Amino acid sequence: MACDPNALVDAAKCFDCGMSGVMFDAVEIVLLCAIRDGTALACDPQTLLAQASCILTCIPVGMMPAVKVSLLCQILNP
Amino acid sequence: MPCDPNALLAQSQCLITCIPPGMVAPVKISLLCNIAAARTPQGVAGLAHWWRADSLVALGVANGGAVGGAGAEWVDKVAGAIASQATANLRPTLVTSSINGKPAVKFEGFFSTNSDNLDFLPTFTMTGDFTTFAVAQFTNFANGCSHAFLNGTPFNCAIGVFKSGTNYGSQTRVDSGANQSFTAYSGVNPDTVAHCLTNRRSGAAAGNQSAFFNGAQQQTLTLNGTYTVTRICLGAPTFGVDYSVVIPEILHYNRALTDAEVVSVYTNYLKRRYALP
Repeated sequence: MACDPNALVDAAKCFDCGMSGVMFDAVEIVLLCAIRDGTALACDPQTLLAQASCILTCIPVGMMPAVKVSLLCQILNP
Repeated sequence: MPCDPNALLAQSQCLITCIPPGMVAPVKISLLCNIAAARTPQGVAGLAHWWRADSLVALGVANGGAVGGAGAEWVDKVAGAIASQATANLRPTLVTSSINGKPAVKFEGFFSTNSDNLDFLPTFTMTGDFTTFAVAQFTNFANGCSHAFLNGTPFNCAIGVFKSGTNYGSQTRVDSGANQSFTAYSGVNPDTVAHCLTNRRSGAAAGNQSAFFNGAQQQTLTLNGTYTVTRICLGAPTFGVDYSVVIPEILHYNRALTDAEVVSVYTNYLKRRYALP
């Protein structure tokens, strides 16, 4: 994917669907887990939100940034 | 990656200007989706079977516990094909922390009929073109060839490791009979390092069989165009040398991947996950 801003926005339009900030955080964690584990995900908002529901339930909102950093470290050093 | 703040801001200037604030989070998700798609072996079409040993940890199999009995089968993540062993003393064991700290299944092989192995019958069949990746690390590997995974009976479809003196390599075989196998020497001692062996069959034309060692193609050979696999298993139930091998993961594609796809699966996924060369 080229990093042309207009192309990036166009490609992301399906995710501009009313998700709250914390939902975006949870989805981001789901995707980082998939990247770490090499598992495939259907990248549509409904599927991602369904996958993120347990993240929303189980991880305190204030801990999400730290969890994301931890996952990035695990991706960097698998 | 240099993380100079000024350089980062300069590189981001266009994005800061052009992406509406409300679209930043969606763009980030979209980009992560693309990264995830590039990093999974399922991003390359045709992944029919995928065994990864962390599934056994999730089942509750303990370190050193037997693999293949009831409740401890090695289940394929894609198709649900079950690798099992009915005979207790032929079951391999789980090593919860092996190559790069990842779980793996340990097979003890002997030049006898008593080596560890897992059967894929009846759910696993193998015909036509294929590409198979296996990550493995051998120890106690005697001279000879070890068809350590996806071995048929009698040896009609296998990939494994070959050792003769100081020559080491991967060996691939399709069909039984003479001139049906070849060895691609890598110069890497299978006793000491983890590696990825890849075996590809592509049609019946000349050069249809290829072996890759850590993502690099070693050799091609023309083998007979047809084969019939009557039994697929992991391990070497009826042939082998004295060896011990840990195998954390096997990927089986039901088509011949291109060279670039082989490199992609190795580089983007297996190499990263297992810290391979």
